[in-house]
Amino acid sequence: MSKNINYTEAIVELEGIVSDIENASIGVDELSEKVKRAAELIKFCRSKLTSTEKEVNSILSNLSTEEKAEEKQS
Amino acid sequence: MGNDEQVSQVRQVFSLFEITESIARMFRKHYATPYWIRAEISKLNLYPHSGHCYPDLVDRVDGKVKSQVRGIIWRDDLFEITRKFEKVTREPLREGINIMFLAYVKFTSEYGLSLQIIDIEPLFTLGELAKEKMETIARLKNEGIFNNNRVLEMPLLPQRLAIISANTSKGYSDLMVTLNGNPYGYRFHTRLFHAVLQGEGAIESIRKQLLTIKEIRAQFDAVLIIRGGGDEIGMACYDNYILAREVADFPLPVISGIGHSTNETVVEMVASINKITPTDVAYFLIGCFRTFHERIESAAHMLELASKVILDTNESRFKLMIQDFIKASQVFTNQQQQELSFTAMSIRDSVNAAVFNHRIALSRYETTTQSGPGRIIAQFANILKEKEKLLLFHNGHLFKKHSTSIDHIENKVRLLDPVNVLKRGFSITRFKGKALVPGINPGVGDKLETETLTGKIHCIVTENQTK
Repeated sequence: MSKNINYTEAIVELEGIVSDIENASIGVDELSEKVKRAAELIKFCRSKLTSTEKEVNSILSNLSTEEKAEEKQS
Repeated sequence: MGNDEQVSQVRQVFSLFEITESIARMFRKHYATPYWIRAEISKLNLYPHSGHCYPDLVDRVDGKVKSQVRGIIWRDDLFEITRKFEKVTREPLREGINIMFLAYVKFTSEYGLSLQIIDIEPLFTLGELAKEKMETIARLKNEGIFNNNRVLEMPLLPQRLAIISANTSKGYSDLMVTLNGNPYGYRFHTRLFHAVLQGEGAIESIRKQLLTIKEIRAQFDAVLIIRGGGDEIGMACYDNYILAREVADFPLPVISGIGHSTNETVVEMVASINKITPTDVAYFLIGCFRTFHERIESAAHMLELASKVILDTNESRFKLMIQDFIKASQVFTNQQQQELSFTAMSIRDSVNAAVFNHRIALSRYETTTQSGPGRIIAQFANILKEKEKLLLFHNGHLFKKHSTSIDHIENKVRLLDPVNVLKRGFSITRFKGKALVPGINPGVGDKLETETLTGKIHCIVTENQTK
């Protein structure tokens, strides 16, 4: 899997694959390949989500710590 | 009187002495008693050595001398007369005053006509002086200058003083001692203009110095006329019109301190400020300074108070403003922090929601990805089954159909089988494995193979007649 892919590209590709699967507009020959790709994309997106969530929470909690620190200084 | 001869014949010649003695006799006879006479002393002619006085007595009408007689006051009489006169009039016997005197009209051979004054009525002179004073006042008022000096504004600080006085006078000394000894340390800049301060000569002396000062008046704030310490005889000069006029119309404020106990003179009336004694003048000047000083101190105090009030007011206002500012900034920062917290919370919520949504979507995709292929494979399997069914279904027909045609074909094939032809005696000749159909034309010497029902015969071409 390409490391340059971002979440949006990944989700678009994933949605395409899922749509293909849902519509059964996918051949048996490429099915396993596509499912394998979808699983990879899901894994990637999930980890991306988790890391993003953690990062955001960490940034926001840092922000409130800074506020408190500033209050103490003033 | 006839001719000269007659005259010389009847002429009786007298010696001058006989004549004067005759006149003297007549005077003694007819002017034996003294008379009260009014006259002006035009010249005093006092001889200090002998102590006698020989005043020129005149009678003027409209300023012109109409009558003039020499007077005599013997030393003993003079002493008594002067004492009495000065006591009442406060003036010395002097030129220019009118007197009423008791005198013997005398004629001596030696000195001619004279009036031997044995008494003077001072009340008459007093009246005359008062009259002169009244006249001076009336003239100044008529001319409209009586109040001129009095309405001049006294400078706030009368510091540069032109002093008309005598450096030997006690009044001047009193003034200077008091001025320079003031306890506040005020400095006065004084300049003495020496003058005679009483008697007839004072008028011109003082006037001359006033004129001098007038020329350099920019150097002074006020003029002082200071007298004192001597006797108080000869003050009538201060009632003199010429001097009084000069003072009344003087461009600088005149302060008089000519120290006497009699009535106020005209000069003192018209002067801007009149104090009896020179010391009082000094106190007045120091008072001016003191007043000014107090005004300044009071103003300074007021200024201090006012500034303090302004500063205090502003300081408390400023303090309030600072408090308000602190409160306002606290409120503001609190609000901003709350808003930021809210924003952070809402960002967190949004992120969480978004993540949640994405998670759901991913779960869904995962489910789809997990279950989808199975479904697809099942679908394909179904299709295959369908196809199989169809195949099975159609198979019978096809099989029958095909087997029938296959039978036909089999028959045909069987009919066409070369074996059957061979049975009938035909053979198949092949050149290089291929049947000799038109087009294939072997040459002489080529080897051919002929198949028969029973076997193969190998031949060699000896002749070829095919075309």
